[in-house]
Amino acid sequence: MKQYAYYPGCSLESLAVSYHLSAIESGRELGLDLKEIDDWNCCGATAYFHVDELLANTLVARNLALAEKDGLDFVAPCTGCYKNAYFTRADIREDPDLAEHINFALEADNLHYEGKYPVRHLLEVFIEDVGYEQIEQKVTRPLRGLRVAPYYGCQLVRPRKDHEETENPQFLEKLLSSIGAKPIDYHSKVRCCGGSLIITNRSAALDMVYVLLKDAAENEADVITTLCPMCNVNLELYQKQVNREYGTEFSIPVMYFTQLIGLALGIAPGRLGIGKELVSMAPALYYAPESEQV
Amino acid sequence: MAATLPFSKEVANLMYASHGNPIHTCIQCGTCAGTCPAVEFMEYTPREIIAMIGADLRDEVLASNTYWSCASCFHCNVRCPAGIDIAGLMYALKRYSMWKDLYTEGLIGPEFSESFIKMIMRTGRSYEPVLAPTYIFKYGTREMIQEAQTASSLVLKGRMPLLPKRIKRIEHLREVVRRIVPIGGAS
Repeated sequence: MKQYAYYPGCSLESLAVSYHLSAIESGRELGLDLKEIDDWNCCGATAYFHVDELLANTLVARNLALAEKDGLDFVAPCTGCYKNAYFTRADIREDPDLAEHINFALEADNLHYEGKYPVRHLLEVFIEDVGYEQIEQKVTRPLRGLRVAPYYGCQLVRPRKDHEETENPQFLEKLLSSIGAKPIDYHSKVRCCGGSLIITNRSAALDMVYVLLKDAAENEADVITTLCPMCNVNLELYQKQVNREYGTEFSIPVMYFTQLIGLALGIAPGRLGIGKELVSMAPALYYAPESEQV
Repeated sequence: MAATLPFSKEVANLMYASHGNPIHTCIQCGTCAGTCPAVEFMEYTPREIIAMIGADLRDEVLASNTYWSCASCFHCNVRCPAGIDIAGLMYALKRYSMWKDLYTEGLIGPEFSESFIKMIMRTGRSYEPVLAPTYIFKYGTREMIQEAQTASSLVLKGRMPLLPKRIKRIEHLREVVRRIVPIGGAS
């Protein structure tokens, strides 16, 4: 089993605990050992960056330094944490002044960071280190016929990190096909869900959730799949408010890609955190009929 | 007091570490405004804000809700034909308005950011039950009831721990922060 320095991030301890459970379970089944970083702290989300960039970078760097001590790739399931870690590492590597400042601060916790090991999102690890074919071979209960809206959200594809496709990425579609599901084509797959505005600007955020749910529903998605706890929680927990504000009747389950992979690998739904959702995931379970109910 | 810099220069200084092109290279095409998913909720579009910065309309820019309505989704950034870091500009304006205490009254964003930081200084991690309830009442009773119902379901489902987690080396983390911001609020 290949080992990784796993950075769950705060939401995976609470609202998004199903993402954590399914990441660990599906990962193990595919030979990924996600070893949680000891005593990690919050990455600062967007709020810290609103106030002070250097401080935010330092918070992130403490986690990166903890991972570097173990000599492992840093892996984050949350795209917000991932983006913060990715760019903090990049900035420290190219700016010696910044590196010096941050390392002076980190000394207070007996840490030092150089940026030796890559920062990666969990989905990248599934796709690059395991691979579509390998996943397909391990599938015992293909999700045949399940219509899934692949939702990329923002921070994994933006800002641009390399030369990646930002308007029409396809890797999530390929992953869904490898577990037998049917990825649907819809406009909003990289449109923001409004997660960072849900507390601070409720009407704007609900509008963004509405646009996405509407697009997925019009394209007959049984399920929306996400790769970020913020997107998942936002699209799931606010369907009721959207229905009230816009007179709609949406009831679309929102599932982490790790939950769908887990089902296809034959892992019991309960071990993937299925049953903890407020919008029932029954449609997905129907397409994985041999899975035991929770 | 030294001669004050024009606002456009101040903003250029704020953006010194940005990898994007300078704001004055904007061609006013409006791609950002057409892309922004929150634009309907902004008093001025990102394109207009950039033009206003160019015209040194400092007070009007800072009094607007535009930059606090940015969701940091970076969609404008990847489409901007001039290669401007527009989301970075919104971040810079947020920070500037907080330093100078110049944002418009009634916005939740600045207050939320501050309580977020205080929370991290207390425990090292983020904990929703402390964060959300303080602000939800601003959206009215109905929204608050809905939120409370959701919260109790989440507790029952095991998705909302009743106590925040505190990291083991919180004292060390505070010391790290103090080395960056000497006044760093350890409580």
